[in-house]
Amino acid sequence: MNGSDPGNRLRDLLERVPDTPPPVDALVAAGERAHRARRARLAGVGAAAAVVVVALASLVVVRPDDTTPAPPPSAQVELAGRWDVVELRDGTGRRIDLVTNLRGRVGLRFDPAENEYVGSDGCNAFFGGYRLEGVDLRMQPPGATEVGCRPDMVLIQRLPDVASLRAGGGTLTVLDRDGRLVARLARPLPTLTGESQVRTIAATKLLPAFDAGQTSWPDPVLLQLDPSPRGQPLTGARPGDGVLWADTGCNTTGGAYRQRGATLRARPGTLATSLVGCASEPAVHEVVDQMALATAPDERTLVLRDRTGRALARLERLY
Amino acid sequence: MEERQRAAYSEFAVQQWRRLVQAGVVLGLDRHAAEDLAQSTLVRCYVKWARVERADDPAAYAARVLLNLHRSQRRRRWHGERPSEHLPETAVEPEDGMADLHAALAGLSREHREVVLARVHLDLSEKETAALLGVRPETVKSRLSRALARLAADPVLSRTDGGPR
Repeated sequence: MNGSDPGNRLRDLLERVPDTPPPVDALVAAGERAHRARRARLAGVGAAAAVVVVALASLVVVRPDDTTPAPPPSAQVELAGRWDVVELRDGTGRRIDLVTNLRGRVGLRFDPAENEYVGSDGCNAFFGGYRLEGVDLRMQPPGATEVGCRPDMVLIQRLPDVASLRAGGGTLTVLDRDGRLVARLARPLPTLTGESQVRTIAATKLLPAFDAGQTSWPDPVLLQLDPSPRGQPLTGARPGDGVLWADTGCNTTGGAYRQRGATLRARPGTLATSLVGCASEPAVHEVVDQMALATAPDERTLVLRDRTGRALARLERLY
Repeated sequence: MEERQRAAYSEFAVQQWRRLVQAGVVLGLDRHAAEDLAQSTLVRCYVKWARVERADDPAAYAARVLLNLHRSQRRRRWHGERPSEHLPETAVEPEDGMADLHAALAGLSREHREVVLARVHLDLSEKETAALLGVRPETVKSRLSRALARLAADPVLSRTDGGPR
């Protein structure tokens, strides 16, 4: 690259980024706090205590929901992998409404090889260590980002309270030391498998092949359809209800949608959008407003159509 | 963490700090957000220090952490926003000396910024970049080509005098 090469010029401009000293002490202190918390949480959890907890957990009568009986206890819990949080209670037993707050996917992923978990409360990301012995689960207080959201980080605050698990009916019931419900977890719903079984599609890209007449935008356009996790307290919710959000790279839109077979509708009155003024913004809001039918030519593609069958957007699964 | 490891981590943090902040800027963040991202990255590296030390290229490991954090933060970005009927009266002006940089990068998509970050700023090979971004080497090549073409068309970056506007 020569002197006029844009890459070199970019490097030159990057040298203008102010050279502030790294907050090494603060970084070390933050890391140490996580380590200390982990040691404190896990220390003293010996085999005898584990046996006692297992015994107590198996005796505790749990009422995660007034209408849902507690699943039977299981001695072997398959915890590895991804889980969606489908129900969440704060320390007072109050149920946190995950859907109508229109937050992102709330979930956890457990890595048994490292005894570590990572997750998102829909707003902040978090991570930490855990120990699973039978149905006895201890979770290190997580390190987390600190984006301000409402309600405030209930899941992150509750993780250190976790003491045990119960598995059954395809869900995991997570309990605290007093046997009270912390959360119920479910495996993510199956991925898109065909036109007749359109259920959900994860993050997708809005391809520039429809009526907007513009072929590219500075940022990718994202539309994410999250199925309502089973058991969500969304008023009038049925299987297939979910939340959506769209990001045009300028404005964002969030709301609830309903899916019945291949019919996909935004729920009236639920859409909210930011109103940043940007040039050349894709008409995502119109797509969301008009979408009535979802067809899936293949596992990676979803086509949103209006009531007349006209294609509004072609979505490509990103991950 | 043992004293030896802590010393090694501190040295690593000092070495990587500026590069990580600059990486955040390449990804389109202002300086303060870029510093926040660099901090989150280095805290994550502290927690995973044993793994960072074992890595063939600890700097590349940190870059991967930074990129993953940025992607996850970006996916959550809208949750921090609220609908508003009114636009802010005044825009936030970039800091002195960085306006050109932000203006040039504003024309790039996220994918293009990421490939510029890896190939230009981090100086990774095509293969390393492909692994970092989770795409094929051919995709790296085409994205970089398009990104550099956009940058070359930028009035600031296409100038040869190297001085500020």
